[in-house]
Amino acid sequence: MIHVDNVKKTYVVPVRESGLKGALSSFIKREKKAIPAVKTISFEIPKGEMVGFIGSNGAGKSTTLKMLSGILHPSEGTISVLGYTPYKRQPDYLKKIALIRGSKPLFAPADLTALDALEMQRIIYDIHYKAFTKDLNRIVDWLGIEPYYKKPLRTLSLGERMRCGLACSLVYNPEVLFLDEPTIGLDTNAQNRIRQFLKEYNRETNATIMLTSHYMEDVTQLCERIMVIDQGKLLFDGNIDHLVESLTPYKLIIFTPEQASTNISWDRYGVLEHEVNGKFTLRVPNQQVPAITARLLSDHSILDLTVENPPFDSTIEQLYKSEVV
Amino acid sequence: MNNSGVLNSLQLIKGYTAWKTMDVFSWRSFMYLLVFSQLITPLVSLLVWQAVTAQEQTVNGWSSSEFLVYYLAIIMVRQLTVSYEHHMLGMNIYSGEVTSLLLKPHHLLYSVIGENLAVKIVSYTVSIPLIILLWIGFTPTSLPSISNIMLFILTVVNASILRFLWLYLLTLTAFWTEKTQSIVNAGEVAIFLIGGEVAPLFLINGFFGDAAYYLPFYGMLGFPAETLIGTKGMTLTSGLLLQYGWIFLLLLLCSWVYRKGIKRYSALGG
Repeated sequence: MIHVDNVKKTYVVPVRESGLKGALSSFIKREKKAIPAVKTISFEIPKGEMVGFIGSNGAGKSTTLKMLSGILHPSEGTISVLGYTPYKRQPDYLKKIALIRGSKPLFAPADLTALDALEMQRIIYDIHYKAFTKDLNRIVDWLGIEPYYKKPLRTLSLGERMRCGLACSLVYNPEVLFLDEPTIGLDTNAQNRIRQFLKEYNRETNATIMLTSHYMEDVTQLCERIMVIDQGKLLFDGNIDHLVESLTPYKLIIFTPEQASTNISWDRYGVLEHEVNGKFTLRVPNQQVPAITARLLSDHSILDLTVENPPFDSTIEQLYKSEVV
Repeated sequence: MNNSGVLNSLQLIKGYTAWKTMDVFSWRSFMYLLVFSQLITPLVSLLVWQAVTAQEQTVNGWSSSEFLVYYLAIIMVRQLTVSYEHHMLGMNIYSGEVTSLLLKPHHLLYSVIGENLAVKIVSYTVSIPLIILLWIGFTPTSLPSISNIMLFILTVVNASILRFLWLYLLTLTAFWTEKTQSIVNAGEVAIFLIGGEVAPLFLINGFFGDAAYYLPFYGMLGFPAETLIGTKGMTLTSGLLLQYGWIFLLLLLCSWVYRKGIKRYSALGG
């Protein structure tokens, strides 16, 4: 399905010294510098898989997605998606993929409606009218855009525009979706709707989905597999649970004792992370969680108790620090 | 391209034209201002040549009446061949919006042609009534023959394609520089100076005048205008050959520059 083999991408950008002297010397001879955006990455994604692709700003996520969708030409290595070489941008290939950018979800004049944009997609992708109407109804229903898909795009909120953008990208049933920060700038409610929709789309169509996001929830809720990129290198490629287990071999026990006493030394149960409004959080090694929980419940009167994995963000932070897993 | 390919191409151009027309209508007042601004320079030239040929004077065999029809024709050609690729495609390249177009399963040109036709449709809603008013207002004594009008229509269609290709070519420089507006302005000045607007080309003597006949600008403006009163600078056949020859050459050039531009865009990203 998606094969990426030893792919590199280097941008050549003009550079100059600051000040008048730098400006003059750059006018006479322009200096250029090679900036490696992606440094040799390889991976494969089988059909129907949803993969989270995360990394900090400038890590190489968007560059990789642009190479996969055919916008960028890799400097080295080979990419094959659905058997096509993306940068050749053959019409047959472009009809089977969609790149959806959260920063620019819709490419349509602001005075037109989402329905105008959808109708234009029908013409561009040469979809038979009957099939289009059927798919349109299904997608409008899924995304819940009926209340506003006939309003001018300029009047829509970011979340509404994102949903309309998704509708435009999915109305031709792409087999591969590249999503670049699909929930950026959206409120929690809108984020959840988009995630729910992506799950349904993947289940119904078996489409392959690769998504980048700064919101770890996008990745943890949608993907079992995760790829972490940092400074153009893949730091991790595998199951999310394995990543958490290998990097954070502890869990958090969060509990509220009936009578919080300052005399109790909670440190004998584990590392006390913090206490907020009578709710304590203890860090405990994975293998000791059942025993510590039992001791806590027998030694004290506990109102409620939960055991959680540490926040995924901290796991990723740990990964960046350790660099290689 | 087979029949279904041609049909799909026409459907795409029709779709983009309708889509972009809806868009251009939303900023029609700007379009109308552009229509009026396109009117100024040929009107000034017309008034100057009317003053020169006042009191039954002639210049190289043309009297006030021929100059009047010629400049009314120049106004018509300018208005009917209107092209603003630098405002639309150029902006899309600068802003990176062209990325979305490059992901569509067709050549970028379909969308650009659709935009060009949309701009024409919207500007014609004011430029055609304006042209009619000017003809009524100036009431030329000698009116063009039907055959000249037919030839005029043919040469204006060719001029439209020529001007579109010329401005599209200059706009493609947006892949390299953000100074495309200046480059396009220089291209428009060339049309104004040696296309037959400052003066009919047959009035420019010497090497400069002779060379101007072999450049594409005469085919964009002066030649179609002359066909309305009977060509003077160049025979009809030579003029048509000049137009078709430059259309062919510009098509090759546009295709080459487009490929280079896309290669550069693919190297740098949107």
